[in-house]
Order: sequence, then C-alpha cells, then structure tokens
Amino acid sequence: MAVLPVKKVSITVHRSVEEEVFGKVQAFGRCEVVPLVSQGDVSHAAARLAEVDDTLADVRFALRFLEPHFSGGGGGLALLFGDKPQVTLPGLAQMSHNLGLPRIVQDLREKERRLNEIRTEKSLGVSVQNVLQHLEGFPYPLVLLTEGTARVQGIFGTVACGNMDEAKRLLSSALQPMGEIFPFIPKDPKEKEGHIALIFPREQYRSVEELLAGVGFSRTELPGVLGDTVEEEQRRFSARAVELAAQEEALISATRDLAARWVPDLRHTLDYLSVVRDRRSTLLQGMRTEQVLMISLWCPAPEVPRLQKVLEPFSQEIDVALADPEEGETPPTVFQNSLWAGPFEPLTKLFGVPEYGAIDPTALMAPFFVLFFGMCFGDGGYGIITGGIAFYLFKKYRMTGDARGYVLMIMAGSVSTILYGALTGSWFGDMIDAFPFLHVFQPLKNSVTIMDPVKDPMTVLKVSLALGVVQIFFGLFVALYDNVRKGSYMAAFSDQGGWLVFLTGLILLGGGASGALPAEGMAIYQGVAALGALILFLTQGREKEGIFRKALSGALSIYSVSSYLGDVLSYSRLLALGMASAAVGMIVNMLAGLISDVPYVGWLLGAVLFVGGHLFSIAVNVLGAFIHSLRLQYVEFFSKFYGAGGRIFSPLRYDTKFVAIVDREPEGAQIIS
Amino acid sequence: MEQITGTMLAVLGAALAAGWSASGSAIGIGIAGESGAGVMTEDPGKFGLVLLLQALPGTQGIYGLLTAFFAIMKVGLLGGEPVAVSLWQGLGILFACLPVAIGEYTSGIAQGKTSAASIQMIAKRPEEMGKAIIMPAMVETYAVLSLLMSIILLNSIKI
Repeated sequence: MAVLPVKKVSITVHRSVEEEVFGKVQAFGRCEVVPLVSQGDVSHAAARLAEVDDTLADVRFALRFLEPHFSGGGGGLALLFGDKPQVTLPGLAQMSHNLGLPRIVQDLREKERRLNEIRTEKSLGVSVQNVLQHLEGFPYPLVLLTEGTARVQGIFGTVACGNMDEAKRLLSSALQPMGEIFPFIPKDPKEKEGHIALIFPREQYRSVEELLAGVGFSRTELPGVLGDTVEEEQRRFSARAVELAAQEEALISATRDLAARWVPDLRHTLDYLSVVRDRRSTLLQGMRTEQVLMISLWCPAPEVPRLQKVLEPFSQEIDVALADPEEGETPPTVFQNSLWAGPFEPLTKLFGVPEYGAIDPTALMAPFFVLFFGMCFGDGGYGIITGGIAFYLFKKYRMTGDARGYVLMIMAGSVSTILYGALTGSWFGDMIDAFPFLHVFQPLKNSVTIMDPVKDPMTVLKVSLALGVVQIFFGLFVALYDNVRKGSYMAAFSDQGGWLVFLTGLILLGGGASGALPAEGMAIYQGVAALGALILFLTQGREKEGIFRKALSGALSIYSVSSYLGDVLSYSRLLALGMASAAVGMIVNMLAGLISDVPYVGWLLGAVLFVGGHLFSIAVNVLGAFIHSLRLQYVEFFSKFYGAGGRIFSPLRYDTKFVAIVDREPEGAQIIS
Repeated sequence: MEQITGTMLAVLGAALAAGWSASGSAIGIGIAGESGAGVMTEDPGKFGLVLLLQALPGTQGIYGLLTAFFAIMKVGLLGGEPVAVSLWQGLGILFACLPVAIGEYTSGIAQGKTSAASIQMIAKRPEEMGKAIIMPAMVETYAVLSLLMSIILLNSIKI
C-alpha cells in the first residue's frame, strides 16, 4: 500500500573505472541518479559524451533518410506491446562496431546530396521549360537574348496585355529599321501578362530601356545556358528531364535496397548508442576531483544489498555510503505492488504518482475498478470476446511495461464482466431468449440469474448506490488510517471520524424512514447523526481564528454532505452503463430477428447485422466501461484520501526502443549480425 | 381515438429522445472533429488518439436511441402486438423521454467542446492522454443521469 522506501547511495569511484562501474549500475537498472550540477573538471567526460552524440547524430541522420523507404517488418504491434528482440549488450556492441557506420553514413550523405542536386536541376528545368513556352516562335538562337553578339543585344520580359499594343507601337517607331520586336500574346484570354522579346543594336540600349520602363515592362532573366533555338532547347530540356527522372528513380530504388539492408541494424545501433549516451551523461552529474568522481543515487531500500553485490568486484576502487532521504529532498516514488495489483499501476500513473512516503492507491482501487468495469460492460458474451482477444494478445506477445498492464486489466475486467453478465442473464443482450433455437440454454441461464437491469432497474440501482457507499466509506477509512499513521490524530478524529459518524447516522435514518430498518431505533439513528454533526460543527473550523469564525466554518462544513450525496449518486452510472450494454445488445438481436424475415437472404442479413451490431456495441461499451469505472476511482474515491504530487522513479537503465537487452543470449536466438 | 393519441404521444417522446440526442452527438462530434482535423494537419500520426476523443460525444446518440427503443417497445410498436395506451399513459411516456431529449442534446455539445479542448491538449502533450479522456467523461456523467431518469420514469409507467 505504501511506496517503497529508498536510500541515497553515494558512490565515490576512481576515474579509471568510472564508466565500467556505471555500466554495471545501468545493467542493474534500479538506481536513479540524483541530479547535481557537475563540479570540477568535466572536460574529459564531456568529450566522451560529445563523441557518442556525434555518432548518434549520424545514426539518426541515416535512419531519417532511410526510414521513409523502409517497408520491412517493423513488428509494429509487437513493438507496441513492448515485445522486442532480445540481445545481449556485448552482442549489440559487437554488431554496432562491425556495422561500418562511417562508410554507410558517407554513402548516404552522398546519395542525399545527389538526390538534392537532381531535384534542384529538375525544378530548374521545369522553370526553364515554362519560360521557353512563352518564347515559342522566336526564330533566332536564344544566345541573342542571353548574351547578344558584338553589335546586337536582346531583351526579354513581360508586359501587361493592355499595354502590349502601345509598347509595340512605341518600340517599332523607335527601333525602325534597326531592331525586331516579337510580341507573344497569351492564348488564354484570362492571362493578364504577355511576353515580349526585342533585339536591337547595342548603342540603343539606353533609349529602349527608357521606353520599356514607360510601358511597365518587367525583365525576365533567361538562364545563360540557353543558346540554341527555342525548339532545340525544348528538346534538350525534355530529354534531360527524362534522364533526371531515371537517375532519381535509380537512386531511390538503391536507397530502398539500402534501407532493407541497414534499417534494422541501424535501429539496434541507435538503441546501443542511446544506452551508452545515458551512461556517459550520468558521469557528468557528479562532483569530480582530479582522481575521483562522486555520484549520488536513489536506490529502493530492499535492493541495496543487490546493488552492493553488483559493486563488489570494484571494492578496491570505490567507496559506497548509504543514507536516508533528508528533509527537503524529493526522492522518487517506487511502486511496491504485489503480482495482482502491479498491472493496475498505469492507472495510478495516469492520475499522478503518489508522493514519496504517501499511500499508493493502486491495490486499494484495483478490486473496485475490476468490479465496476464488469458492471458497466455488463454482458457475458461481450466479456468472453474482449477477454479472448486480450488473452490471445497476451499469449502471442511477450509484453512489457504499461501495455502488459492494460491487457491484464482488460482480462481481469472481462472475467468480472462474464460473472456480472451471468448474474444478470445478459449474453449478447437477450440472445438466448430472442432466438428460438437457443432456448435450450434458457434453464441454464436462468439458474444463475439473480437480477435484470432492463426489467428491474431499481434493484440494480440500489446495488450500485450501495457499492458507492461502500467505496466512499472505504476511502474515508483509508484517509483515517493515513492520518493515524502520520500521527495527525485530530484530523483523523474530526475530518474522517466526524464524517463517518455523521454519514452512518444519515444512512440509518434513511433506512429507518424507508422501513428497511426497525423504526423503534429512530432515536438511536438520530442520536448517531447528531453526534456526527456535532463533531463536525466543533472541529471543522479549528483552523480559523475567533469563536465566531470557528462556529461559522463548522456549521458550513455540514453542507458538504451534498457533495457526499453527489458522490454516491454518481455510482448510478454502474446501472446505466450496464443496462445500456444489455439494451443495445437486445436491440441488435431484435433488429437481426426482424430482418431475418426477409425472404431467401434474410438469414444472411440477420447474421451480418448480428455480428456487426454486437461488434459495434462492444467497441462503444468497452470504452465507456473503462472510462467510467476509472472516473469513479479518480473523482469519487481518490478525492477522499489521495493527492498524487510525486515523481516517478526513472532509473539509469537500458532504455531502448527496438531491442530488449538481456544478460544472456536466449537459447536458439539468432545473433544479430 | 384516445388510444391512437396515446400511442402517438409515446412515438413523439421516442422521436424527441432519438432526434435531439442524435443532434447533440452530431454537433459535439462535429466540434471535436474540427479541432482534430486542425491537430492532424500538424501531426497525422495522432489519428488514433484524436479519433478516440472525437468519438466520446457519440454516446449521447446511443442513449437517445436506447430510450426511443424502450419507449416504442413499451407501446408494442416493435416486435409485438400494439397495446392499448391511454392518453395519460402516452403523455407520461412523452414526459419520461424529456430528460434524455434535453440532457443528451446539451451534454453532447458540451462534451464535444471539452473533447475539442482535450484534442488540443494531446497535440502538445500526447503523454497526458489519460487526463484528456477523463475530462470529457466528466461531462458524460450528466448524460448518464438523464438516461437513468428517463429509464426509471419509463419503467414506472404501467401499461
């Protein structure tokens, strides 16, 4: 229930073995480095880190370049569930070493450069072709427009269509008889600009320029490579475009082959280098002198002996000191849950990690979560389907981490769903009653059915609200225990004790009034409620100053009873969602039954509707069941005693994306080359 | 005549329950979808998360449909012989459908807005998916309460 105590382990190590020692600590994987601004001369360690950072940058570049062309089995689903190929660290190191990374990276950089060149040239070609299109019909070699000759010069550009005639008139009168004008009026009447090409004697350049400025001419620079006639150049550029496309295709195809060859290895190398990087960056987080490095680690107390054993071979070179966390330090939170509650930790993490030394709500919440999930999902048939899928995934993949937790949660929830479905007689809705050929199962189904949310919602509502009362009281008891544990007896007595007595009194009163409890006890019930109210009135203002304020706060606090009422009513969703599953199932069955009356194909349509409808219902309801049973934990239950506010333990370990690093090569496994 | 009026009032109740709930869900999912499309222009890889959040305001439509089925089943219009429904019984069924008609419509829209905000949240912090889902689920409480009340009311009308 509580989180694990941690110890502060201060390691002083001789620099000759520092990397080796922290390699062992990393392999051990249960120690978090206490961050410390590095002191002393770190240049050597920083250089070692920079070295691996450079290599990492190379690998990341290679993967960024190759991955878009990689179609091989990434093991998507397996990776998602944390099922990674197992390798040993030396094996991984050997593989990375033999990879010949510099050569690969150089090759890829060359390919990238070449691809960029090709793409630049292609886009240049396209823009030249566009310009040439506007010059179609120009009879002379284009060199006249680009460079000109000793005496003749050319110019090319755009003029607004409206000014075209004016430009032609002015230019022809100015150039006569020494120049030539080639106007190119666009074929599309929507185009606003036309093109114009001129050739004229060099000495007239200034006057031509002035004239052109007057008609709003804007010059288009032609690339210097254009020398031949327009047709010739167009032919040349088209041929070049085909050539470039072929080259690009060949390069991409070569890249694809490279991707298939190298991406898996590069990914593994990425993991290896990340491991090395994590280790080396740790070495920067300590105090350094000329000879030694001192680093502090948080280690869960029960694992300290194992850590000491790991460090034993270095007893000559290191010194280890143990201490408890001091006031003001923020040790990380290490979950300590038994085998059955462990899978539910992701839910607690989702809300927020408990503070160091605080209560861990995981195990307290898990049974309620499973029960509520079952009630919200509420159908035996649906439970079998989701449970089956979860079980299949669990068997097929070697799951780790949170994914494993979620799948196990769904499995547990499915079992509870099946049980609840049996108790309420809901198997794919009312399938057993709806289809005559299934009537043989009716006696079996009815023998375990004790209530039916669709026909008799009130009974299930009472059960739901009663479960709410149970969980809220449980939450208050946990808070009470927590206060007693911390020695806050006054808070335990007033904040929880007062409410427990008051709420108990109110429930007794309600029971007496409705006839569920003997009416003779009314005086006692009233007495209990009054006692609770009195405790609250006297204690809830204890933080305030002055008798009046104390009394006011005490009196107002009793109004919080409405929030407890709201909390209990919130559990009515257990009925509503469970009934929704059963009723949607029932509707699907009814529609399938109706449509199966269609002649000839009715049975087929009915079957399709039955399967599709129930799958839809499962998808919608499993999501709702998960979210709502989680919400009851977070909002109604956690609010009574839990504040999160902690920091999750993040040890120095093998933090990898694509491979799982193990101590020993698994038997029969292939060594990655 | 009175019996037909009673049945028709029940049908009106079912129609309001299904129609308004569906409208609420449609608007809610629409709002969330607009936000989701915006986020996906930046990062198409978030499709799965976005779709999940966008789907949350869809339950209102289902609750409405559910209530409508209950209402018309009650008067025997679905899979059975039509039963005699008095004017008062029909009116009762109509009223019983109102919590769903109103509650689902409003909560569908409100949940859609919260979903849209949650989608913006996971655009920046995808690791906070859990919190992003819980916030729209807070709105859904009231959709569930409306459904609950309608079902209890429908159940309490004896025909």
